[in-house]
Amino acid sequence: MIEKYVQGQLTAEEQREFDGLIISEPGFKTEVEFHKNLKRVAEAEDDDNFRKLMTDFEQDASSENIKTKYFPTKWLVAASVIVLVGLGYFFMVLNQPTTQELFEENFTPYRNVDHPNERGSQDEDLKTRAFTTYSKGEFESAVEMFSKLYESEKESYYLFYTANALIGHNEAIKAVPLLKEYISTSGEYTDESKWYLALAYLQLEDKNNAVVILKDLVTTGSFKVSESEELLQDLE
Amino acid sequence: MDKDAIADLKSDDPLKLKALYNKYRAPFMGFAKRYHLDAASLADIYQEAFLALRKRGFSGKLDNVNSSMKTYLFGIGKFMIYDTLKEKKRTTTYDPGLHVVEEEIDPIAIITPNELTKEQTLLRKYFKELGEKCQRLLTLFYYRGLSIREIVLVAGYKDENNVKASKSRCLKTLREKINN
Repeated sequence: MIEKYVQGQLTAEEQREFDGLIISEPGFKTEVEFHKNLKRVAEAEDDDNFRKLMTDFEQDASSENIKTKYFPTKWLVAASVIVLVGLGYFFMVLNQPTTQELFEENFTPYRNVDHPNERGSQDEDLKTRAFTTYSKGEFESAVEMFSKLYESEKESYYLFYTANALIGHNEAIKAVPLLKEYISTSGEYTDESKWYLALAYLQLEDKNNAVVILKDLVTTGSFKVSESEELLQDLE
Repeated sequence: MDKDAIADLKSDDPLKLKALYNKYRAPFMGFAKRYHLDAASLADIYQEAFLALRKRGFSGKLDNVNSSMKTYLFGIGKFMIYDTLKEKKRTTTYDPGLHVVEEEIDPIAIITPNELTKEQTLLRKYFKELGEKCQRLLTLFYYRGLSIREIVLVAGYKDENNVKASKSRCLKTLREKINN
């Protein structure tokens, strides 16, 4: 009966009997308390275990999907200063989003899919360090490491990640030639590179070039097509 | 609400859970950023909202919900955001033009379980000393409210008698730990 109670399955009649026993039998009450406590303990334990699991999900999601707003505060402050100094108060009162705002709304460094971090791995080679640094949003160091890797391994996807890190580090001007070079190889990240090239142009406030690339992506691409359409609407 | 999604939510399969968690994470962050909370707070809120959703799944409260899982989860999240803002005593101006709102989200109130009592904290210590299989069995029965028959299927026991015998042994061990 206690177990049925714990599982909330007592019938009305059983409930009445149960309530009577609680009053008349002190031993019964103690036993009920034990089972109720066990239920609460199992709940707390299960919830905490699930929280730990979600923390793992969150770490993976954050490293794969570092939104602009999750950037280190330093970066945000720098970006804000640049926006404020560069564009001035004048733009803030305009309702039209600026290219910089559109950039910030849309830029998320491409997630690291080429070298997933394995927690607990002792493998601390340059590639691992480069991708870990990148995933943490430490773009300046990531640029340096990816560049070295590209020099030694000549894998073109390093160009793509270097460019992402450069944009993350507010150096879109250096990212543009790398992305163009990558696109010329027709590698597997060609569409992705077009998207980031458009964002690089936005960071550089080069609206015209951004529009050209986005139109190309909408017509021929398969990556971020709906986002590109929305961006085009905002830009035009 | 999608029955398959509820089944995934209630499962212990990390891949299914992760897929579900990630499916709504970015949309939630987009939805929630209008409340001007920092990213870390929003991530915490999302986790607690997702947990609360799962708990509602266990208690069967999602079975007859008509709205989508996403809307329901966002409703819980919205309630938690309001709670957080209230705690921080911050005011925020609602700006409907800031983002495109796909659907109106009504906040869904969540009651947070009470902190463990002293007695429960002690019981938890002994509970954690039990073997993994016992912990899981007791969790499935007591917290998740699974019937003996369901436990046979979920936890891979031979039959119902096997579950009942195991449960008795686990409870006996737990009582012995308490009394020693």
